[in-house]
Parts: sequence; C-alpha cells; structure tokens
Amino acid sequence: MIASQSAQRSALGDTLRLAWMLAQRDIRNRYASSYAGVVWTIGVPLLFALINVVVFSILMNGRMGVQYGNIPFAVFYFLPFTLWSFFSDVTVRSTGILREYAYLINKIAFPFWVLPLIPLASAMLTQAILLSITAVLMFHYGVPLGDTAIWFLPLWLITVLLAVGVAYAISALAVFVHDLAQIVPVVINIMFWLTPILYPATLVKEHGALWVRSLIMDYNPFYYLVEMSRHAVFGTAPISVFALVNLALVALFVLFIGTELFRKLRPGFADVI
Amino acid sequence: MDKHIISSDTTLNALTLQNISKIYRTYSAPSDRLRELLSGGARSYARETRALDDVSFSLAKGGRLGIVGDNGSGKSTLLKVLAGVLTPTSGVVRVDGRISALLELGAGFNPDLPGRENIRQFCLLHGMHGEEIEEALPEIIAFSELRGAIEHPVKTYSSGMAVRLGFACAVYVRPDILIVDEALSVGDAYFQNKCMQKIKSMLDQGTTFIYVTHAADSIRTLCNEGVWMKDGRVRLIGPSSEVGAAYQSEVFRRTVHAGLDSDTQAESATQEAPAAPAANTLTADHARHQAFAERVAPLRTGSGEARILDIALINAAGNDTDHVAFGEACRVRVFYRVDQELPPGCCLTLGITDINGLQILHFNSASQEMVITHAASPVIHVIEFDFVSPLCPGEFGFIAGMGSFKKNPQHFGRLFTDQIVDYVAGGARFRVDFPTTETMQDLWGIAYTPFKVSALTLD
Repeated sequence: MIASQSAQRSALGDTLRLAWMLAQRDIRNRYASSYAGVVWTIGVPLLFALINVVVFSILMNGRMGVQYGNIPFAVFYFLPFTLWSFFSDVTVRSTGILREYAYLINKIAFPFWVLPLIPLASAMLTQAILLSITAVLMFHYGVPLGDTAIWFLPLWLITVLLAVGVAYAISALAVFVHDLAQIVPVVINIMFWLTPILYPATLVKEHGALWVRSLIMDYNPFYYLVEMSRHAVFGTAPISVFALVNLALVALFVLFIGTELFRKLRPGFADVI
Repeated sequence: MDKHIISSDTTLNALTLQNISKIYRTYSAPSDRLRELLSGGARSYARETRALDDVSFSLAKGGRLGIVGDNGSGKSTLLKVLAGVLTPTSGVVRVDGRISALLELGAGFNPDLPGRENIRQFCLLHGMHGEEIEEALPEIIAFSELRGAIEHPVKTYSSGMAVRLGFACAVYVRPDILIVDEALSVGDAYFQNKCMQKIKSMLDQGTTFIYVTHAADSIRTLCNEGVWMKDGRVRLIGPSSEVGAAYQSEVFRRTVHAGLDSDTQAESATQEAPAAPAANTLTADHARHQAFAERVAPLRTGSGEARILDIALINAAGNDTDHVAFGEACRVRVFYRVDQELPPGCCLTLGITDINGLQILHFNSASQEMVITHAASPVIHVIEFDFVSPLCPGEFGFIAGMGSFKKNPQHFGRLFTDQIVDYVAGGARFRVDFPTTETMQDLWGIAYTPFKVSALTLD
C-alpha cells in the first residue's frame, strides 16, 4: 500500500547489503562487545556439549550400534548437533530480534523483513566452528568420510530454510505475545531431547512406547535431518531422495507460513514496539 | 479550499495522501489483544484513539509544506505516516522519492554504537552504497561539529549533540523529500542558523520540504503551503501565510482566554473572525479580564485601591492582536477600575519587558500630566498609549502599574515611586515580527534606531 522509498530503488540488492551490514555488526556485538565474547557465544554451548559427551559416552558405551558404523560417541553427537545448534540459535533469538531493533522500527522506514535474518550470520559462524570441531574429531578418531557426504549440503540448506521460516513466524508473533520469549527456549529444549541427537534412534525403536516412537520419529522433521546427516557423512546407509524431497517441501511450507505471517502482522509492528 | 494544494496531475506530486485515518488501539491487558485476535474480530476489547481522521492533501515536487497545530493534534502521527514508519489504518499514501525524516531527537540511532558507526548505518538505511557513504562521512562529521565525540557511543551525547548528528545525517543522505520536526529547536542559535542555511540551499536545489512546528511564524518564512491540524483533522489548508496567520490568531484568542472554564471557551470559540470590532467600540470583555487577573495573580502587588483589568495591543489597522510588524505604530490600552478613593497624584505606567522580564521601555501617564482622579465605581476606564515601536523582532511582555510619584531629588528624568496602588506583570505578551519583504536592515539587538553611516579617510 505504501510506495515507500525502498520499493522504488532496485530494492533487493540494497536490502541484502543492509542485512549483511546489520549481521556483521550483530556478530561484532556478540563476539567482541564483552570481555570474553567468544567464550560466551561459543564456549558455553561447547561446555554443555562436552558434558553431554562425557556423560553420554559412559551411558551409551558400546551401544551406538553397527547401524552407525560403531563410531565414537563424540563424533556421533557433534555432527547433528551442528544442525541443531544453528536451528535453536536462530529460533531462540527471533523472539527478541524486532525489539532489539526497536530504535529503527518506529523511526525509519526500511524493509523490516531483513531483521529476522540478522541472527543467521552469527549462528552460521557458530555452526562453522562446531563443524570444524567435528572434522577434527573425525580425523582424530580416524572416522572416514562417507561417499554420500555431499548430501549433507542439502540437509544443511533444509535446516536453514526451516530455521528462517520459524524465525519469521516467531519474531512477528513475539511482538504481540511477549510470553514467547519464555516459551520458545523451553519448547526448543524439549525438542532437543525428543530428537535422537544424544542417543541413537535405535534406542527408541527398541524401548519406546508406540506414541513415543511416533512423536520422536514420525512427526519430527529433525529426526530425519539428524539421522540422514549421520548416514550421509559416515556413509552408513543410502540417502533416500524421496525423504529428502519431502523434507524440502516441509521446509518450504514452513517458510511460506512464516513469511506470510510476518507480512500480515508487519503493519502493526510500529504501533506496538 | 483544497484546490490550492491538490493538483489533479499526480505524477508531479512528491507525495499524496488520500483519506488517511490512523486509529490506535489500546488494550487494558495484553491478553485482551490476543483474545480479540482469537475471536476473529467478532469481539473488540480495544479502546480506540483516532489520531488521524480522514486527512487528504498532496504536495508538488519542490513544494514546501508547513504543518502547524497544538500538541496532540496529530502532527507527529501524520509525519510518521508520511515517512512510511506507521501504516495508516485506512487510506492511501503515495510517495515519490527518497525520504529523510528528522522526527525526534536521536531517532534511528543505536545508542550503544559510536556516532561514526551510526552515520554509516543511517546512510545505509537510506539507500546509500559503500563508497557513497565513505565519501559523505567526513562531510557529515564536519557538519555535525562533533569532532572527537564522533567515536563515542551516542548514548553519551547531550541533546544538542544528538540533534546535530541527526540533522547532519538527515540532510547529507541527499533526500528528495526532507521532513523536519521541531526537534531542530533543541540546538543552540548558532547551529539552528547553520541548519536553516543548509535547508535553504537544499530548497533552492528543489528538495521537497515538510516542516512541523508550533511557531506559526517560521512556516511563513520557510514554507509556501500550510496545513493546520486540529484533533486529527485538517482544520485549514492553503498558502502558508494564510494558515500561519489563522493559526496564530487562534492561539492568541486562546491565550487571552486561558484559564477559563470550558463553557466560556466554547462560547467565545464561536466568534471566529480575528478582526475584532470590539477594539473600536470598546466594550468590556469580562471573560478576558478574568483570565488576565488569573495570569497576573502570582506576581500582583499594590495597595489595591484600583485594579488593572487588562492590557491590549492594537495594531495599526485597529485590531486587537498579539503581534505587530517591525516599526509599526502601536496602541496599547490599559483597562482599569477604581474600587476605593485613590491617593492624590495617581498615574498609570506601562512597561515593555524582554522575554527574561528585563524592562526595555517605560511609559508613564505622569509625563504628560495625566492624573487619575476617578471616584470609586464599577465603571471600566481605559488609558491608551500610542507609540511607534522601536523594538527589534522578538518576544516581549507588558507590565503595568498604578501609583503616585514624587520628583527625584538626585536625577532629572526619573520619578520616584511613592505608593504602589497596583502592579501587574506576566499578564500580556506580544511579538514583533520580522519584515515580510527582503530588506537590507540587520535587526540584531533589542531596539532599532535609524542611523547614517559615513566613511572617512584620514590624510
């Protein structure tokens, strides 16, 4: 309805450049603004990961199963954790991202839709660090890279699309529903335990009740992402293109819903913030 | 009335507003908003505030629009809608060109980032590119005169510094449409002057300009079109001189009636015309006298045998007013009533003070041997002082006193006050306007006197 200045310019390139600059600043803020910025943003999740590795490698000792090529627990856990950390980073930050930039939203007309994209950059940086740790671990334990490793890329892309879609929906809703800032981290935490990241899916198949099994495995897109990423990188099972396409469709659907919700609620942002 | 501004050819317009309304919905509890959303609009829990109500106008490219109005009249909401920050509840806004808006102090700046980074971000948000920004950066920093402070976070800035940074950014992003709110008035006189120069040069280059103010005077000098907002609606639209004058006379009318209950205000509001025939027929306006009494009450002194009821300024055209042109012949009427027997030799004095209350001019009826001898009665008397104002443009106040005077044994030409019967200050103010046409005069200071300049050379 408003033919604002942004729409008139060759918009997209400028807007993405703006997003990139805001993202760069966001990274600098998160990593360099406090005395130990890197420790807080990377070190704390790593510490948790380390605790998980120590505790669970004892619990799961020797029970990873041949299905995953009997790889050490640390590698088994770290690879899908890179995808998960990206998703949870972006989603949790999306609850407050529009309020973080409140000083722009009701002062300057610019494409607001760049704002939920800002956390992507710092989340990707964290993910890159986690991936290199995974690579080091694989090298250390002598775990070979599977022939199907290239399939990790589409899986990663699907995770990004999912995260962006969810981020748009949550960031727009959180403007009107403050409680999401408390709810989302809890939900994300529950989802973490419901996804076979720390434990092999075979465990659920063997012991889980039927409803637990369907909750964890059938209706959880992360189950497929996590399992497929392991099979792809460790080369332990063939990749089902059918499942991949289905996952991509789900991700696109989430992205569509999220952006649509954001677009619908956008006119109200400046009134509320 | 709308014809003046709305041209039918919309392609020549920098911006067009059609039937803009903006309704703010406030909820007593946050859950009410959610309940309303969930009910699908079937039930409404909101209290609605109509900030803008069916506002339409347009502005041609290169046009200069001044928006006046009281606090809460919808000016700021209108600006935000124009700037594209707020989405109107209904209506259409069409904008052609890059807008730069100086809406509020420090608007659009991240308080935690240093000035320099904020400039970069501001430019980027206004569609400038990497090299363009680096090119403009030194110019912006130089214009803002922030020097070393440019490396400090914006939250450490004083309001004057914030407005300097804001203005420098707003003008250097080379907007097609520049919107300036009153924020500017925060800066010191020197920086204000610099801003005005910059705005004028931008106007010469054809920048479309929208200026929002309380001061009707500045819209006449800076703008050619005017919009007067009242209660979210357009009250008047037209040439800036007309709109400015109409708004000013309304403000004046309200000032002299300030402090009255709403009944009286509503009654007098029906007398629209600013040209007051009352000034010539000299009828008593009791409501006005009462308002005057309330304004002077805190500083009133004197023994109280007589009461000064009102001070009115009459311009050369014979109308009651609160502003006169520079060098205009003025008449000041002082209304009073004698309640008890006056001391002998009672005279009336009128003083003009500057905005700080320092007295500049003094008129004493004793100088012309006019002594007040009326007996006590409810009749209202008037003494008029006629003079040609030597005052330079600015704000001034009236003070008046009644009392008896004695000869000064020390100095000629300055009487001693013997007894003060009544003394009033803070009851009336007026303004001397700047000349409306180009002039070679350079009106600094408080008073002006004609002078001759001669150049001589010593041999």
